[in-house]
Amino acid sequence: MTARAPDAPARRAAFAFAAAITVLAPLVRELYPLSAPTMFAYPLRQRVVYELRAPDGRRLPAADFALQINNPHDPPVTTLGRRGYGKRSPTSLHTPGVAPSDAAARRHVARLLARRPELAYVDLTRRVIGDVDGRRVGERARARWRVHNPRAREASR
Amino acid sequence: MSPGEPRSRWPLAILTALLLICAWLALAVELRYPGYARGVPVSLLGYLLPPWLLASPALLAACKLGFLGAALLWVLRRALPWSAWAAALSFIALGSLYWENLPWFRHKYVVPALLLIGHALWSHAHLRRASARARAPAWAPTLYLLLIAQFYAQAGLAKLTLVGPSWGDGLSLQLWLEWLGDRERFLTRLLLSDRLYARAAQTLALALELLAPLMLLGRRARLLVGSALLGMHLAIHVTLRIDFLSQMAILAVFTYAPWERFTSPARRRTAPPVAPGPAAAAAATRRTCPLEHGL
Repeated sequence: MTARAPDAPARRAAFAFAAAITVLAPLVRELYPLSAPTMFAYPLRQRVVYELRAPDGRRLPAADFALQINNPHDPPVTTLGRRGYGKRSPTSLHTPGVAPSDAAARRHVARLLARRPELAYVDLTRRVIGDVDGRRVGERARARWRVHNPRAREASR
Repeated sequence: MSPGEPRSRWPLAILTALLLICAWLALAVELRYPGYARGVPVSLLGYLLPPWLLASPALLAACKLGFLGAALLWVLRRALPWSAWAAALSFIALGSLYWENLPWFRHKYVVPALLLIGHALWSHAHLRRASARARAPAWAPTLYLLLIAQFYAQAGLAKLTLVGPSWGDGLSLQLWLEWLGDRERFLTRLLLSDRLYARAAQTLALALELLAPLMLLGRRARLLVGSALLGMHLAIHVTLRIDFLSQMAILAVFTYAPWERFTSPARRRTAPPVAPGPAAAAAATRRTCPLEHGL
């Protein structure tokens, strides 16, 4: 004797829903409430730390010179012709894991320093944190530059 | 459910717990980055509404109120199934507004939204049999655990596809810990002390995420995998101080709920032969329609 379950349509709807979520999420990656969660799915092999100091030794926020880290662990969504998040973060030279060249970093800071005529120069320190001995992470490289303000020089002439 | 079967308050307790967790998440939503430029759509709602409406605090407040009101009606078994769908959809709407106004993602809003849809399906399907002391249909726990498990499995697959197997080599975990970790914690210091520990922890986390669907295999597997996932969240919470408490609460509720005690057995397609007679016929009806008097 074959009987028809009273909740068969609900069961079918439930599993169609689960199947749709399972199949669609990896295709669209992050389209709430669909999500193939990308948290910590970042190819991080090293970390760069920028530090800026004013002529009087005071520490300046990295965000003032667009060297802040906008997002430490989520790679931006890159499907369906999209790249980014719901809101666009402030521009930054600093992408986690990527160390820009020395020249690029100094050029970048000099360009933004021109908007701060009260600063004659800034001392820029860049530390690269990565694998040091196959067991631990630590400082692998450190560089320090004095970046002069082109506007301040013009003003002093 | 046959008249002789014991009724259970567990389904209502689980629904109430889920709605409380969702209310906690809903009340935490704020539009904190009004000065940031619009990015790209990251929700289904993001494709439907204009940017000014997506950034509207009034719409967010309406979604919050809508969710809280509908959730209350749902728990009280009033206005079903509309209250259930209204709660699920308003939560998804407010989660969408949150994501559309963030310069990153908030993954802890994903699983609750999916579980709300699952529970709304249950309430809708069993509307006529709705009661506060109903039993759960056999497909319900399977669906809920599948929604939770696929979230973790997708997270594992995303790591494999975006980074590759090297994701679990311990270096990235040490870098994150060195960067964001709480150095006061023993576990943080241990993982930073040797790549071997970090590699083991990271590989275990990846394996756990990929193996999360094993939760569906039965009670023991559910308890084992669910507890391991909870342990993973606890370790992340302790070392990296990432607030995933709501996700941990959901995981605990859906892992440790004694589903077997209040789930109607899966219906048999072919009923066993029965002897003729009114009592046997009634028994056969109960076997083939286990939910007749239930939900």
